[in-house]
Amino acid sequence: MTGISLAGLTKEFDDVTAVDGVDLDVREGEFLVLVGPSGCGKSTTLRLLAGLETPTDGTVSINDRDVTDVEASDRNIAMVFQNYALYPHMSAERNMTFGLKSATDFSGDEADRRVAEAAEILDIEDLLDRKPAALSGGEKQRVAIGRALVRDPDVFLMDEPLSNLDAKLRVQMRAELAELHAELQTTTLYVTHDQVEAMTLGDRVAVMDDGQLQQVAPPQTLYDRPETRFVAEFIGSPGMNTVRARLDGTGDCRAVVWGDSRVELPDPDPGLGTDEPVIFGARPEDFSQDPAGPVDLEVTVTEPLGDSMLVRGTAGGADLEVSLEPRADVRAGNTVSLAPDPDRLHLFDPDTGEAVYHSAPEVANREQSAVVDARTARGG
Amino acid sequence: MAVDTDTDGGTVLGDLSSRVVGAVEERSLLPHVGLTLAILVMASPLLLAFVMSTQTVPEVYDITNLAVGSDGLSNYVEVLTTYGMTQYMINSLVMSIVVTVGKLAVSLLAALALVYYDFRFKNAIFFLILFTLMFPVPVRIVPLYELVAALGWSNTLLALTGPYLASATAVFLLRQHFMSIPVSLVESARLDDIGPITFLYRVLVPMSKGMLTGLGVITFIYSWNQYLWPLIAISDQNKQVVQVGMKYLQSVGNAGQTDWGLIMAGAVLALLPPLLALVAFRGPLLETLGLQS
Repeated sequence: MTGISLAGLTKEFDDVTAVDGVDLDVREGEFLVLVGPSGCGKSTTLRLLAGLETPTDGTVSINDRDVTDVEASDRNIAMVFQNYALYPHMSAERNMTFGLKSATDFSGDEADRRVAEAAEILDIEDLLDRKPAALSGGEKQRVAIGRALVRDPDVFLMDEPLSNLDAKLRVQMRAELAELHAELQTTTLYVTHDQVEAMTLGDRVAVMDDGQLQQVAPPQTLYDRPETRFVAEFIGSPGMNTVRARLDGTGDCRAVVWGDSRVELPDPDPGLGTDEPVIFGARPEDFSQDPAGPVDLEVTVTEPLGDSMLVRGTAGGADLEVSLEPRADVRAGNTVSLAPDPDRLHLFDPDTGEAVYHSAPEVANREQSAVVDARTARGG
Repeated sequence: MAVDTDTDGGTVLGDLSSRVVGAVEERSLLPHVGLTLAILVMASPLLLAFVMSTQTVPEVYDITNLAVGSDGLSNYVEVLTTYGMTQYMINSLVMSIVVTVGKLAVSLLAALALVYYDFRFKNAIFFLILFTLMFPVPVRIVPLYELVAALGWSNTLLALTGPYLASATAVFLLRQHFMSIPVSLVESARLDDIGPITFLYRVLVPMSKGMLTGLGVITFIYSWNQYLWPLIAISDQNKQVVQVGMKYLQSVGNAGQTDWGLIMAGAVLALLPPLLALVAFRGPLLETLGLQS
């Protein structure tokens, strides 16, 4: 069964197309993260799914039921908002139960039991009598998640639920959310602009830009084999370096060339032409210092991060950012010779931005099979 | 302490601090005197009214006599019992409460519609509401009287309260307040199938308590102080409100001498309910005014 299915979903606001023909299937029980920069249409997609917006075109299905024209309250979903959306004049418990009667069939005792259960899962039993003003950010978000839990929805929708928390709490809540999902196995669509959140939480991650889906894939695939230049630059911290370059050579010895840098491609795809403009991509962490390396980087800035050193500079007229050994002897003004990992090279079409070549071989994805395993174990 | 350190870097600490304290006292004395004087000037009509309300007629006309008079509180008793002030005050109270409750209810519904509903010409309607601010009651009084008379409302509570029920100011303030409430609360309620009236009653009203109390106090005082419209709309003396009732007190008195003691007693009595409302609800009132600025 499909948890969520969006087909040709389009939303136009006056002359702006916020969501542009999105097709997306989320499996039942899957945790799918929708990630993209602000204004890319990810929140609008979530709101279309929730029924808070009406699509201009396309359909929305939840559990194989077409709900495009169904009221938000009849879609059996629960949403967690970025600003928690707690009623300030109600206690945490009342916040969780308010609207429960009209939204679900749970009555008095059942509601109490469900609140107690949710409070236990989220460890907020002691906070139930408090009003939101007396709760910390993390506690508020727990109550907000608790409110979603007691509704026992088919689908959880989360709209940047961790964005208002401080960095440390965010990491902690992230782990708790992952745990919670592992326990409940409820289909979840999670919207965020934070690619670290996306990578760590998602069974699969959907990257969105300018109203369109760029790629939907498990996190590692997204990182290893980005389908577009946008995904390559967006995923990773910092993102992939992309350089305007040219293909050079014929036959077995192909290389990309820009300025005085020349990087040879292992096992090049015969479909690649010669002397064509391409966008060459390599991740900062896939460069290493090598006296014989083909890339000479003139260092402008060094940023020691403790576990690595981030070095920025220019090579052959292109800006590069590379991640080197933490105690590397590199200073601003130096020139370092670098070699990119030959198994981690990427080429993109300069016009369409689509990936035309990855030097890494395709591997079967572990995450994907892990999800299937978990669901088989549940007897699904 | 940092005040003087640049000039007396090496002064003994005790000496320095006593000098600083002295300077602070000196500096704050002048404003205090000024403020006290200003308050006295502003409060003088009230104080005079209270003093006169205790004086006999000859004492009032002796303008140098500013002592509490020999009548004591007898003017108050007389005004309340003999001259129908009790009835006027009850009438005013009923009018003010009906206007306050009615105005808040109408404005709440209007603001709810303006903020949470989409309908055609929404902005135009909002500006039309604001536009009514430019027509004060005296400008409308003749057509209003004709309208009320045609409806057969003259000399009733409806005539007294009806024209006051719609308020552009209240609608405007509530609209601004509702707009400051996060949209996600509304959306959360929508997902839970909470209807607009339940939402208004259970969420918006409790969240707007301060604003509503402030508006209520302002409205209460405003309608308590109405004079011109009740004077026109109500012809029965025993249905009249307190401000007009005081006018009736003017005709009391012997040998053409107005009994100012009596009138001032009435004025002081008429002042009490708004004053009590102000004192009781000053907190939320300040909150409301703070939002206006």
